[in-house]
Amino acid sequence: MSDLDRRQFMHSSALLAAAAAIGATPGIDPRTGQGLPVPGLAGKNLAEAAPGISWQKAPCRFCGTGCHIMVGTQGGKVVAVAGDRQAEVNKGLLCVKGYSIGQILYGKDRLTQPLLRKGGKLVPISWKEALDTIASRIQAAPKEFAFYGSGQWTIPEGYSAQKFMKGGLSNNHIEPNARLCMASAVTGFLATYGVDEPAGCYDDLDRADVVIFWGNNMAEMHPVLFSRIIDRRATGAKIRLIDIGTRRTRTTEHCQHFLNFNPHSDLAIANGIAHLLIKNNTYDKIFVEKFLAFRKDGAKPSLFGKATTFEDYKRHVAEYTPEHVEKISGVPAKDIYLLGRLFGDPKLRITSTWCMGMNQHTRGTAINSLVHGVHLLSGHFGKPGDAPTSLTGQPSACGTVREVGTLAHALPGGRIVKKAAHRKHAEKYWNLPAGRVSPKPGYHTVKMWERFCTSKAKGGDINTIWVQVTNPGQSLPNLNKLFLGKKGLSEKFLIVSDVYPTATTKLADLVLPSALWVEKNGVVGNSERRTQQWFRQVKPPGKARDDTWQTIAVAHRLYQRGFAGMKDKDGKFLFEMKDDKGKPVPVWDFGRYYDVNVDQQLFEEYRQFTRLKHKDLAPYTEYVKARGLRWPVVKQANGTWRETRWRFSEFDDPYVKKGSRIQFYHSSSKNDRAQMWIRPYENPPEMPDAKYPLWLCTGRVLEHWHTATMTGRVPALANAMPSTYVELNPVDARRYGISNGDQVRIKSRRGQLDLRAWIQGRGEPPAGSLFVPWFDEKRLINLVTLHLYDPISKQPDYKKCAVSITRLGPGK
Amino acid sequence: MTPNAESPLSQRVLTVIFAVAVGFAIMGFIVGTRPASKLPRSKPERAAKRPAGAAQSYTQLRTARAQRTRTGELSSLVAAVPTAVPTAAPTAAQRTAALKARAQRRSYNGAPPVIPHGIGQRTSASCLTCHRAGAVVSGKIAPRLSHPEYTNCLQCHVVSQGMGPRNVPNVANSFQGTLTSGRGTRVSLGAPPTIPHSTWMRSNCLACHGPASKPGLRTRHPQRKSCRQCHVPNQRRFPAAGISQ
Repeated sequence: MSDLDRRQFMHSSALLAAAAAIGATPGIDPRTGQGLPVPGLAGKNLAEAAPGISWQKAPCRFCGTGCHIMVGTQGGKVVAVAGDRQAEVNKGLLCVKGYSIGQILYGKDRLTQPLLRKGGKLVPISWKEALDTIASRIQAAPKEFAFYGSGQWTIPEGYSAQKFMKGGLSNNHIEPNARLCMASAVTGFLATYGVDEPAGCYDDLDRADVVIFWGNNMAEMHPVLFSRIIDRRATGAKIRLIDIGTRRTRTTEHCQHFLNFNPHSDLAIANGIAHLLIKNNTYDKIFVEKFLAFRKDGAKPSLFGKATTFEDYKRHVAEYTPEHVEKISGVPAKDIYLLGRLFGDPKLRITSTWCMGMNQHTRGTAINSLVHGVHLLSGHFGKPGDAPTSLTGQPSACGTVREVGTLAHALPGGRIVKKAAHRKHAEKYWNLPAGRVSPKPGYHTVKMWERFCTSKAKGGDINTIWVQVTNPGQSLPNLNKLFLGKKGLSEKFLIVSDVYPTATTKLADLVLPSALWVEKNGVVGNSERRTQQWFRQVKPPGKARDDTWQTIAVAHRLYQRGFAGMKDKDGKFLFEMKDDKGKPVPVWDFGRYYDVNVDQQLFEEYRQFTRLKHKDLAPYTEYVKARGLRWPVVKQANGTWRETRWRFSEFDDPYVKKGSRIQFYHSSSKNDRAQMWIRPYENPPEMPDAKYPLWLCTGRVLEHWHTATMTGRVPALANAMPSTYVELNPVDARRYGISNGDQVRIKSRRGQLDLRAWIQGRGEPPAGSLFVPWFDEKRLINLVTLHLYDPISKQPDYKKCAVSITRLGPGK
Repeated sequence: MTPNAESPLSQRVLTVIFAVAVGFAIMGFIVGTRPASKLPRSKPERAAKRPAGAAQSYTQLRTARAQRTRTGELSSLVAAVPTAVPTAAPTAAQRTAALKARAQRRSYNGAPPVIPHGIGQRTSASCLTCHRAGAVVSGKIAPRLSHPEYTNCLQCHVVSQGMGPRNVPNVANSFQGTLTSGRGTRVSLGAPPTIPHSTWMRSNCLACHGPASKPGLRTRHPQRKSCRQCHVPNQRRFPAAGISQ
């Protein structure tokens, strides 16, 4: 359209707008189109009203991709969503979950009032009674209270929980479900760079010549990012995709190469690549000379290990010849040679991505550090398109868990409770008396739930857990041990803030109704260091309320009761919020909560923490204007705020010393070098044997997000994927006499589950292994999975354990 | 707006695919294995009933699937896409029917429609066999892709009925989406109406308004190809969303 056309058109639309304002056409049924004006009756066409939908931005509520959505609201309800074309992440595209997100607010069984278990039944109570109940539980035993959240906590939600626990209760038992999701990615980054989170960003996906998916079914788990890669082919880009996986998936179908490896043997593959780089002399000499240090474990695996030499490293990888790697991994030696050639070619740009496959791994930290190592050794790092990038599964696993540090050992901004200087920072920013923050790390997730499911007499020293924004009753591994063990322990008390009844609320003693997504303000941080903000657009139903409010209200109840920890060193309430004139606002009264922007005030306080590790955040108001900004966001001479796309690279990162090209300025060896780890392959703790002859892997499907408490209530998604199944190879199907659709029983040393068999379905595991999605709350595969975890990250391995399969009968 | 540019190679591939499809159609007709049947709609994807016991082999499964395709779903059913000749204006009843059919497959206007038939779960290749160019199969319209730049079909479109019992929370949802964007506006009688909806991912107008589309949405003048010469998006409708073109 030419400019003239456009002007003329705008003019005519203005006339039309005026015409439309005069007379609307009521009585059109939007579901059927009944009552639409008859074609040809121009007068009625002219009178047609604008739909009256108002649009506002919000990031998606689901995975860690961080797509931006335009939310259409009308009459106080969400009525439509659209991909946000101003968003760099998704450029207007969404996945089926994103397109369905408006509907997650409107499941008929939304929790709308607080419920307390009385005589075995959950009965409605007032918010006052609910807050008093929690305050009394905490006062009775403040050190036996624990807070369990997730990467779905917004930054202000996680920050207020963090401050409440560590600053208010001097109690470090705060954990997120992200421990189950990406703790090994964190320890991988820390072990390698001395500081957490990817150096690259999604722009790498637009530039890479080769993308390697390490156990990563991106087509289903991060579909918008996957499209961002494969859509390049539509415009003629030559891009080589390699799937290193343990089963065929939708991702495999788009890849030129599928390297099907034996579970756990990804360590051998990574070592094999390093072997070839050394042997062929194709490693990056400048990187080794200037940017790398070498490291290995002492007697026990640890985050920082001990220093060693390049010679030692070479000796270690010498044994990983492609032929030896083939023996361990089952991947043909020629494919290892291929990877060696690609990484050895400095002209290519190579991006690696991974998610749960490498993280839910009893050697999670090891494989994470090895993949970083392969990129560093080959110099495929620090240029657009050359990056090792981990992806997160939750909208704020990075923003909240990793940056705010809602973990048992952490403090905001990359600090840890063990360090006196870090505790001092927290006490300063929170205006607390010295010594308020405890130096002793709390229990990590598995330990926390173990102690909760054990009677006090037997050492179970966690007696109350408050769960927000997650569903551990379905997502913890080995549920019999770590969740269902609570049954019959009358001294234990479980508080659950949620939006729908879940597997967790089944055992809850107190249920609190929460606001969801655009029913509240929020700030989150996605996988590429991008911090994103949104405003409340509709009101929550009934008495449902913001999670941040819930935390502050409980804190205030304790403050009213004289609980010393809820006062700062001047005797003021820990969460005092002020209006523009500096006057305190009683935000603990929900009627007054939105008198001020609590999110903004918490965010500005939190922002002070972000400088130490050079993860600088901009003022809240900058995020209001943007579709997210990637930290460090640094103020320019002209007063604007500039985001950083490539960390540690001189051309983009303002914190890199001029002339150094690459600088790892948080190096754990204190010499600006990243750590190259010696990490050998070892067998996993449980492997198939005569009694349990098959591998079991669990994971997700495109349609459902996590435990399907939200997506399961969206008709289109629930209809498309109504229940879980077990995927098996035709060879195993024949061996065990199983037909498509048959009922089968999966059994491990820990539990069993009956499922429907799907042969040649959406994915295909190789012979000898099974795959089961875990979204189905009526078929909990976590009754079967293993609770053993990585010794450094404490993240359990949901991706492999040994099981048996037997046919029960034909499908129903 | 850029015209829908397809490489000559992909056109050649399409020609081959079509030749094969038409070949099957002729074979199906001659052999007369089955009278033209209805396209199965929204059936749960279940394996054919077999006596319980050993799993079928790869080859058996594949043969069975090919057999189904030959005899039922595609062969005798593919019809030529109607020629682009001027037609009468849709009637109000046709239009209502078309909007109703649209609404059944979308939870709101702008949602990707669900897939009303069984699919191969693994790839998008089979989707594109019919939908890349569009086809009329047994009177049912397999619409041409309205957004040829996106081909990862299963990212946004899911089947309307998957396998197995409904285990995920089986509760009603009270979401009420806006299902129609209403009609285009005209500056005067006889003027071309504006486009009342977003054109984002609807760059191919003829996917919904072409001769092989629902009668109620069809253009009266399919012989004219440069739609946006006369019809322009109604900017006022989608300003904040940034979704107009």
